[in-house]
Amino acid sequence: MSINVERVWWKPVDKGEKIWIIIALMWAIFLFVMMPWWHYYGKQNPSSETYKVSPEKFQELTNRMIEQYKVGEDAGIPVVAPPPGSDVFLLARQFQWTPVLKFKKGETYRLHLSSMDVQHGFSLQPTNMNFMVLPGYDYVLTMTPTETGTFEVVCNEFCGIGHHAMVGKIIVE
Amino acid sequence: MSASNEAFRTCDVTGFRVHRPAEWLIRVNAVAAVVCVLIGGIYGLLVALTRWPAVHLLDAAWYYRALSGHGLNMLIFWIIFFEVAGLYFGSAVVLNSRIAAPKVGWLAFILMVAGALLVNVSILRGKADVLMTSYPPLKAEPMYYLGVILFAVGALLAVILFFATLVVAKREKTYQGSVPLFTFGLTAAAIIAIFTLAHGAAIYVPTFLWSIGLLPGIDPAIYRTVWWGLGHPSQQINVAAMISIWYLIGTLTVGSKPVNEKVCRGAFLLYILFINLASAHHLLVDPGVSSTWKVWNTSYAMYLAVVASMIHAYTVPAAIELAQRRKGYNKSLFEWLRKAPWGNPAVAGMALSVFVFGFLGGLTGPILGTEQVNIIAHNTYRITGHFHGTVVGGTTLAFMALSYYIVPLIFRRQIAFPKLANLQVWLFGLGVAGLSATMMLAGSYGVPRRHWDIAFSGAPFGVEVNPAAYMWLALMGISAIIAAIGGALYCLIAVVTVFFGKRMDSPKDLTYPVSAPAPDAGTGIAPSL
Amino acid sequence: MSGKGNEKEHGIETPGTMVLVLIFLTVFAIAFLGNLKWLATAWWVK
Ligand code: HEM
Ligand SMILES: [Cu+2]
Ligand SMILES: [Cu+2]
Repeated sequence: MSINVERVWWKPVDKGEKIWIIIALMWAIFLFVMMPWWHYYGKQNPSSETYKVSPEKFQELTNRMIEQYKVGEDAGIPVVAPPPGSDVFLLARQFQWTPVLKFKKGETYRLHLSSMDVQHGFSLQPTNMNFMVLPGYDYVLTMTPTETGTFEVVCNEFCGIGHHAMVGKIIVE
Repeated sequence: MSASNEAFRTCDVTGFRVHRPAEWLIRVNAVAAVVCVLIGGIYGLLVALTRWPAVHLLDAAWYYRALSGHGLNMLIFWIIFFEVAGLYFGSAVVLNSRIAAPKVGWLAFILMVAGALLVNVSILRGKADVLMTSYPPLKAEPMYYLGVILFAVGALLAVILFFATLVVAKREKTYQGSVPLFTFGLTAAAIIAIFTLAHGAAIYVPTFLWSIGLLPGIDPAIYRTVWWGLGHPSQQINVAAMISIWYLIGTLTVGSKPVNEKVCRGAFLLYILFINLASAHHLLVDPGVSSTWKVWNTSYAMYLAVVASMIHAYTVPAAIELAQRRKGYNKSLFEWLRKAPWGNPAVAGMALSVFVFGFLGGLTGPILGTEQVNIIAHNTYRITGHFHGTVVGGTTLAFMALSYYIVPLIFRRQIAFPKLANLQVWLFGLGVAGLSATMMLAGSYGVPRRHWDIAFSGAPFGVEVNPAAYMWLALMGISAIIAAIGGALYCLIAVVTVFFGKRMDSPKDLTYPVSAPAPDAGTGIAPSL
Repeated sequence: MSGKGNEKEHGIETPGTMVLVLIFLTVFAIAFLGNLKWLATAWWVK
């Protein structure tokens, strides 16, 4: 046989198609506007505050905070109650979060996240907020807890065979 | 003409002049695809049964190994082997042309098989516990990265061969006018494939060099940015291929032709132009990239691709509705749909594929890709649920549906167990729909993906996971079993047909008929019979 | 063919499809807005 496909680019568009394309375009514009709109007027946005940091430096900052504000131990991990408004460090390494943090409800903290080894995932449960933790990068989240209770930090980026046991804790009083 | 006439046979069903070397290349790639979907499916079932908390089948190490094997064999090997077969079919066969350079096709095939073997061996040896994304500094043995690179080089050669064949067909005037829509859609897919594979080279080559000690390290943030330049647009290849197949199945089964092809082709162009930077939606909660960059790239690029998909969502069913109405199924709003040839697995498979892709995979994508919503979804099971709607319920099911035509036409065999074929698409389609939905529901409670144990055994602190999540994970396990039976039936039917099926001697032996074009809708793909 | 006579001159040729895609868009919109709703409440402030 011989193939013969007519030229298609000059045929007028059907009415139904026109209506739908216009609806689809308007919906896309709505989606397009929603994201920036929420960025400015909504309350929840991923932070874009990032610094480069070496694992050694981050370890040192974390240790200094632990020395200053340690209030106890939980499962062998130091518990730290940093003052509201301060810089708080949460260090990820295979397969542990250090330290356990104690926050006060309604106060704001600058939470720094970084990793000593591979990539990890910061997943606050049961609130369900998720952020990436990369070695070499200091990711700063400005957090204001709005409820009291015990929250777990689950690692949700695969970081090795012991990944499932990597659980940390944040207590809000 | 450079090719001698013995190199061709004339298909007694479609009238196509089929270039035998092209036919052989299609055959071997299709067989390799089925082998990979079988291996990947076994891994998938094992993984799903591990994530069903009451069953918790594998131990931690083997869970992650099976998960790596599942992701690679399914998303990369099965899909790409099948797409390569599709590219040769859409160029050489559909355009009545010879394939430009069969030797290159064989080289591509050998490289891809070698790459797939290296990767699988490496995973089974436990030397590549890095999952499909292999985010550094997690490191696999060099053989693993080498395997991925070999496979990608092979795929690149196959794509180049596709373009070369288009050029040959044009120069040797094997067709007149524009290329058929199916080939046009595949061309869009192939163009996206080129810049996707370029990203792949840009990231896997340095990572390989790092694994053999020639580079000191790979920056994790840069890796993620470039890797998703491979990982995201490659999904658009799958979408473009799937939609091309939807149109082709419509033409083959009910003789449809788009209401206006310009619209469909325009939508394919939108994919090429706007999909690349949308990969930013994988980095929405990453450090290292600014909010402006995230918002701009995800919104402007992704939403025009969304428009393209929404256009296809209209034009695909519209083509079928139009053809059916012209055949006289004109009563009420939906007679055309009720009276579609549902007994044909390609029709049922396509309908399920459109439905699962649209309602489960498609509309959840832009939602998860919204900067703010991503905070509650990133790395949870919602993501896995989303892409089992797109690439499994959508693409994989479309590939399966098309197989019921391609296998008889290319292997010249009658489909074994035709009744089972119908059951196959329904089991797989509904199983995957359940799988996708239950994964998303479990994920909405914060259940992480890629996680061996949501009871967190061995962890310093307990985590109370909502009991509803346990219920959804159990239902996920059941859906997975249904989907796996559907997938196993596909492999069974494909293997028995290809190796033991009754030979086809005349068009009458075709298991599922090729429809005559609907009245007033001539088509380039299915000639009047 | 019997169907042809029923086509209106300037009507929508495929009304069934139009209904299907409008259902799709409705589900899409509900899902999208439902997901944005949580943003006003939780812990984290930019
Ligand atoms: C019988 C069919 C299938 C079943 C039962 C199934 C099940 C699963 C399960 C349970 C997971 C694990 C998620 C996790 O624990 O994080 C998974 C992951 C995945 N599946 Fe499937 N799946 C099937 C088919 C497919 C197909 C056909 C594809 C691709 C074309 C696919 C691609 C993937 C990918 C890319 C992942 C993610 C791997 C990763 O996180 O590294 N699946 N699947
Ligand atoms: Cu971790
Ligand atoms: Cu982890």
